[in-house]
Amino acid sequence: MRLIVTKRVKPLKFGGIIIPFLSIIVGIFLATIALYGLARVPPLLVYGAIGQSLISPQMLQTFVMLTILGVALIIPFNAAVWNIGAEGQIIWGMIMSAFIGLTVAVRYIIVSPSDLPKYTNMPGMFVLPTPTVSGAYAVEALSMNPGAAICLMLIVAGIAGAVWALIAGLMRAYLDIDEVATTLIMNYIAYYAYNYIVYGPLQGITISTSGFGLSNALHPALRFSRISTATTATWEGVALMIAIFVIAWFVLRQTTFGLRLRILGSNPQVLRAAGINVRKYIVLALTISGAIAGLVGTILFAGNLYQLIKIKTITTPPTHNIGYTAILVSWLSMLDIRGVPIAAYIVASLFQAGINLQSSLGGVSGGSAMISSGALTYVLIGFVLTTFTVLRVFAEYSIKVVREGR
Amino acid sequence: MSKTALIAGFVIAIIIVGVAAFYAGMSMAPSKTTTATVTKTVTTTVSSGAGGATVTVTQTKTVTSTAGGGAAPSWTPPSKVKAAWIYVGPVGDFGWSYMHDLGRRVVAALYKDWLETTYVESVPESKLKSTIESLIQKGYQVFFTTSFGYMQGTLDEAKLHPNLLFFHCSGYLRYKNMGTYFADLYQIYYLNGLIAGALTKTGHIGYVAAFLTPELVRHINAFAIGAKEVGQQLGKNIQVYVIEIGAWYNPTAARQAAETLVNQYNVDVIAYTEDSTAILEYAEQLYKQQHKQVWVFSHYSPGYIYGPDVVASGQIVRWEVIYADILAKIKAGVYTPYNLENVDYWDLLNSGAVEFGCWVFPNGTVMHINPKVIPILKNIQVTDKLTGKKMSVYQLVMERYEEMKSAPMYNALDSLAITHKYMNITKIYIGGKEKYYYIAPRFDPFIGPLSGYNIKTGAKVKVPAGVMLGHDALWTMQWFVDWVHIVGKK
Amino acid sequence: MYVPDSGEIYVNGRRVIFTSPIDAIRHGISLVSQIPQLIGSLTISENIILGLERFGMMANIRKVENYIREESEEVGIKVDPNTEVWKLSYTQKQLVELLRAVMLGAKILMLDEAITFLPIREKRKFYKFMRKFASQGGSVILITHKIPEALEVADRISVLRRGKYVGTVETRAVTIDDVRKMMFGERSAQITYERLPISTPDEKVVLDIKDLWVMGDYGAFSVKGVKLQVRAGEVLGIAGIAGNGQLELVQAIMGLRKVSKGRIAILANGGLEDVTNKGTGKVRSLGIGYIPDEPLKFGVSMENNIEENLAMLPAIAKGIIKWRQIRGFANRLISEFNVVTPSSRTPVKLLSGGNIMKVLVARELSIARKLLVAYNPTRALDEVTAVMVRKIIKEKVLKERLAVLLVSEDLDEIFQVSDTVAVMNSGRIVKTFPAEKAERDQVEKLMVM
Repeated sequence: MRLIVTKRVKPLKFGGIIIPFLSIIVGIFLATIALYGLARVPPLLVYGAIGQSLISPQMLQTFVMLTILGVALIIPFNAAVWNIGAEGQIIWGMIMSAFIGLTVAVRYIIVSPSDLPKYTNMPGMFVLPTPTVSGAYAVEALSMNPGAAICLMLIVAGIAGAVWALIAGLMRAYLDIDEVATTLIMNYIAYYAYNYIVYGPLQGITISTSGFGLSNALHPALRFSRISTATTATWEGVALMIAIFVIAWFVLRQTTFGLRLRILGSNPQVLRAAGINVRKYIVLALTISGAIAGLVGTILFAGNLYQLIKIKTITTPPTHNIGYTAILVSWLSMLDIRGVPIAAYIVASLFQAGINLQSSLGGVSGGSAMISSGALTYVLIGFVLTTFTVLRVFAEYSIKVVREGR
Repeated sequence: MSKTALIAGFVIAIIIVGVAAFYAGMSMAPSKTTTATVTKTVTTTVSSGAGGATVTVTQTKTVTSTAGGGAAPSWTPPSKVKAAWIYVGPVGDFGWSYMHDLGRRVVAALYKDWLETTYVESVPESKLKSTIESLIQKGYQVFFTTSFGYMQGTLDEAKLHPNLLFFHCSGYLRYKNMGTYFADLYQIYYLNGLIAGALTKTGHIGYVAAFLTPELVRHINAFAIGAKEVGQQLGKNIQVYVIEIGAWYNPTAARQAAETLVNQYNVDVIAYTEDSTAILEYAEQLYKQQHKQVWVFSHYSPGYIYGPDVVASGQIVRWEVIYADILAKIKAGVYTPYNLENVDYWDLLNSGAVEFGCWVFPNGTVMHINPKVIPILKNIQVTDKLTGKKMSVYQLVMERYEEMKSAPMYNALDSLAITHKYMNITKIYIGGKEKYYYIAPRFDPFIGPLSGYNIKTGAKVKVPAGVMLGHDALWTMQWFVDWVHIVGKK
Repeated sequence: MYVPDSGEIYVNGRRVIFTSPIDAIRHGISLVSQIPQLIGSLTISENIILGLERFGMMANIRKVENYIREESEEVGIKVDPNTEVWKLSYTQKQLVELLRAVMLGAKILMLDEAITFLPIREKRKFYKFMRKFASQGGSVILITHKIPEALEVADRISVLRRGKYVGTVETRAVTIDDVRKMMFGERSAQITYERLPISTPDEKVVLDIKDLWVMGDYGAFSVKGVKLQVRAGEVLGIAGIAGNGQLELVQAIMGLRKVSKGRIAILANGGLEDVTNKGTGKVRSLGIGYIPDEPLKFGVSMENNIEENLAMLPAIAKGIIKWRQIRGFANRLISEFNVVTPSSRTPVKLLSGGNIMKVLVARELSIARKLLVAYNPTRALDEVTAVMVRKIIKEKVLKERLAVLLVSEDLDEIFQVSDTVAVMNSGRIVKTFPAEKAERDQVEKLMVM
C-alpha cells in the first residue's frame, strides 16, 4: 500500500470558493479545541464571539481597508512583483494627507485668550484645545473648500504612496534588486521618517502636543463622515473601496495592461518576445499598488485617527501592520481579485472575533491571566490559515492509495 | 451553477449580512439617544505660564448636546456599572498595562456587588474606536483608555456617545463626558535620587529612558536633583547620563543601553523607564558573575525579586486608588456624563496612587529600601538643607518621604483641572496668628533655584529661588537641569 | 512525474508504482529528454557525481572521468569531463545525459525526442552507442516522430496516436508508408518531404543585416560578423547545429539581445529603418511575426487561455480588450489550424505540445505583415501538422510576398521550405546557396566543419 500525491492538472471545480469557506469552518473548530485545551476557554464563548463578529459593524472599517489593500497588493502579486511595502506606502499616505490637511488646507490664527470666545462659535473655525507655548490660542481656519481639500489629500497621498513604491520598482526593474527586500526595508525607513516628521515639520503647535510626539488635530470639516456611531467605517472609505475594486477589476480583466500584468507573473519571457517593455510593467505594477496603499493612508488619517501619533515601538505603527495583514488577504484570495472582499471579510471578522472574545473573557474570568487574551486573535487566525494551507494542498494535489506487488 | 454566480451570491450575502449587522448594531446600542440643543453657560478657567500670573477668562457658549431621554442633563447612575479597560500592550506580568489591570482586578473584586469589568489588550490606536464600539454593543458604560495615543480617539468616541463615561489616562483632552487621570512618580524619583547620590562611587549615574516625553524629562530631573542634593554634600561630582531607547518595551535595547552606561560612562547606579525587567536582571547578573555592584531602581511594578542584590529601591504605582475613587463617584452619581470636563487626577505621593519602594510584602507593607542598602545609608551623614540638621541619608530619605506623603491640601487639589494651578503654591498668607498656611508639602524637588537647558534648542532655563513649579510647568517640561546629559547629543 | 489514473506498470514481471522519477530510476529506468537537464555552472563529472551521490554510491571522480573519456571517444563525440556544461554543444550535452543515465544503472533507457534534432551524422554516432547498450542486455525506448529514424535504429516500432496504442510491428517487416499509415491513418497521404514550390523573391529587401556581432550568454561573441538579406517573397533558411549562434542571431534581430556591433534594418514606409538595439517593441511594431525557440517558454503563456494568449500582443489588442472580437478571431484560428481544444478559453497548459505550437504559429502568422522570424517552427509537431504549417508559411510567402527567416536544426525542414539556404557555423554564415543548388551532403559537411 502506498500513498500517492500528484499535482492536479485541472484545478478543483469551485475550489476558489469552497476552500476558503471550509478552512474557516474547520479552522474555527480546531481553534476552539486548542483554546479549550490551552486555557479552558469555553467553546460556546468562542463560537458566540465569532458569530457575533461576522455580523458586527465594528469590523467594517478593517474590512474596507483590507479590501482596498488586498486589491492594491493583488495587482503586483499577479505580476509576481511582491510588494511587501504597503506599510510604508500607507505611512507616506498618512504623512502627506496630514501635510495637506494640517498646513495647506487650513491656516492658523493665533488669538489671545480674551479674543477666543469670538472664534469658538464662528463657523469653519476649529479651536485647538490647549494654548500654544506663548499662552495664546491657535485656531484652524479653512483656507480652501473642504471637498477640494479632501480630494487634494487623496491625490497627494496617492502620489506619495506611488513615489515610495516607485523607488523599489525602479530598483527592481533596472538594477534587478529584489523588491521584497527593498519594499520591506523601506517600510522601516517610512516609520522613522514618520517619527521624524511628527517631532519635526508636522509637530503640533500647542503646548501639549509639541513635546508629546503629536501633530495638530485635523479640522472637523476635513474629517471623513462615519457611516454610523457603531462603526468607524466612513462613507468616503466605502465609496473609495467600491470605486477601487471596480476599476481594478476592469483593468485586470478587460484591458491589455491587466492581461499582460497577469502574464508577467507566470512568464515574463513571453512578454519580452511579444515586444512589451517588461520593466515598465514592473514599475507600473508597484507604482499603482503604492498609490492605492497611499489612499489607505488618507482613510486612516482623515477617517479614523485625525492626528499623527508618534510610533512608540517600531512593531506597533499607527497602521497596526495592516499592510502586512493585507498580504495575508491577497494570499487567501488565491490572487483572484474577486476573492479579495471575501478574504478581507474573513480576516476582518476574525480580528473582530478576537476583540469580542477578549472582552467576554475579561468579564467571565475576572482577569485571571491564564492566557494572554491578545493572543486569542492570532490563535484563531493561525488555525484558519493553517487549515487553508492544508486544504489548498488537497485542492491542487490528488491523493490516493494504491496497492503494489505481484 | 457557474463559479461566477457562486461568487456573486457570496458577495451579495456579505452585503446583506453587513447591512443586517449594521442595523442590529444600531438597535443593540445600550440606549436610544435624542439630540437636543441646550444653551448653557460654561465657565472655563485658563491658566498660563509656570508659577507666573494667572489669566482667568469667563466665556459663554452654546453647547449642542445629545442627551439621553430629555433635554436637561438628568442622570441616574446605573444600578450595575459596567466598566471596560483598554490597554495598549499585552497585560503580561510586569509594567504599565499589568499595573492597570491589577488596579482593575482590585476594584472588580472590591465593588463586585455593582461593578462588572472587562478588558481588551494590545489595541493599536487605529483600532481603539472600533474596540470601544464593540464594548458599547456589549453594554459597557464606563471606559478607561490607558495610553497617551488613545487621546484623540477617546475624545471622538466621547463626543459620539454623550451618555457614556470615558476616562483617559495620561492625556490632557477632556470633554463633558471624558475625564483624565494620571499617577505621577516624580517625587519618588527624587527620593530614589537621594539614595543614588549616596550609593554612587563614581558620581556617574545612568538613566535609561523610553522616550524623552515631558513625563520622563521631569522624572529624570527629579532623580538628578535628588542625586545632586546628597552627592554634592559628599564631595561627588554628580553627572547623570541619559540614553533614549525609543520604545516603552524593548528588553534588548534597554539592556544594551544599560551596558553602554556601565561600560562607557562608568556609571554605577541606574534608574530607568521601560516596561521589562531587563535592566534589573542585567545588574543582578553583573553582581553574581563579575562581582560588580551596579545599583538599580525598579520601575512601576515591584521588582525587588528580580535583583535582590542590586535593587536599591524603586517606584510602585497603584492605579486602584484612582479607579476605586472614580467608580465609587460614578456609582454615587457624583460623576455624570455631563460634568467630567474638569475631572483630571494628578496623583502624587499624598494620594497613595504612587508608592516609594521596590516590593510589597504579602502582609501589605511596602519595602521602601532594600534591607541590604539601609545600613549603608545609615552610615552616611548629611545635612538637611531645609532644617540644617545633621542626619544620616536614611533619615533624610524617610523624612522627605513623610514630608511629601503628608500634603493634605493636595488631596483637595489633585483631582480637578481647575485646582491644579494652585499646586505651585508652597504656602499662602492667610493673616491672623498663623500668617502662613502650607499648601504644598514642606519640600518639593522642583523649587528654585534651578538652572538647565532646553533639550531641543539648548536655550538656558532658569527657575528663580523660591519659585515652585506646578502642574502645568511640570506637565510640559522640556528642559534638563545642567548636570543631566543626553548620550549621543552634544 | 505523472501517476496513472488507471492501468498498471510491470517491470521485470513485478507490478510497480512510480510516484517520482527517482522511483523509476531505482527500477533501472532512465529518461533523456529533448532539453538537457544539466547544471550549467558545474563540470560534466560534477554533474554526474551529483546524481550518483543521491543513490548512495561511492562517487569516485577519477572513475567517472575515465568512463566519460572512453565512452565519448568510442561514440566519436569528444568531451572533456572537466569542462563546465555551459560550454558544451547540444550534441555533447545529450551525450553526457546518456552517459549519466547509463552510470545510474539504467537497464531501460528512454530517449524522448532526445536526438531527433541532431544532424544525421551525429545521430548515427548515437545509434552506435544505443546498439552497444542493447547488445549488453539493456533496452532502449526511442520516442520520435521521425519515421526514418525509427526505421533506421529500432528493432520494433510501436505507434501511439492521440494517446491511444495503435500497434507494434517488426522493423524488418515494414516500410515507411506502413508506419505512416499507422501514425496518421487516412491523413498519411498528406505527408511529403518534397520541396514545396519555390518562390522567386522580389527586389525589395525586408531584412538587412550588416556585419552583426552579438555576445552570447557567457561573454564570448556568438554571432561574428553576420551579413544577410531577406527579400519579400523569400524564405531564407539558416541551417546549422544548435549552439552555433543562430539563437543569438534571432534574438538580436528581434531586439531581445544587445547588438555589440553592426546594423539591423527592417523595411518600413518604403525604406529600410535601422532597428539596431531599438527594442523588441519597435521591431514588432513594424509587422514582424516571431516564433521563438523553446516556444512553451518564450512563445505562449501556459497559465493563460488561448484568447488571452492572443490578446496579449500589441498587434492584436490595444487598451481595453474587446473579448467578443478576440473570441471570434481565436475560433477562426482554431478551425483554420485544426487546434484540438475544448474551447478558446481553455488554459494553454491543458493542450498538447503540438496544439500549443499550432496556436503560436497561427498567431504569429496572423500578425506577420512583412517578415516572420522563426526558430524551429515545427519542433514538437507531428509530421502531418508540421507539413501543414510549412505549407501555410510557404503559401503566405507566395501569395502575400511575406519574407521569412527560418532557422532550423531540422535539415528536412530547411530543404522543404527554403528558397535560399544559408549555413551557419561557429557564429558565421559560412555559405549561402539558392535552394535548387543546395546539396544535402555539402550542407551537412559545412554544418559540422
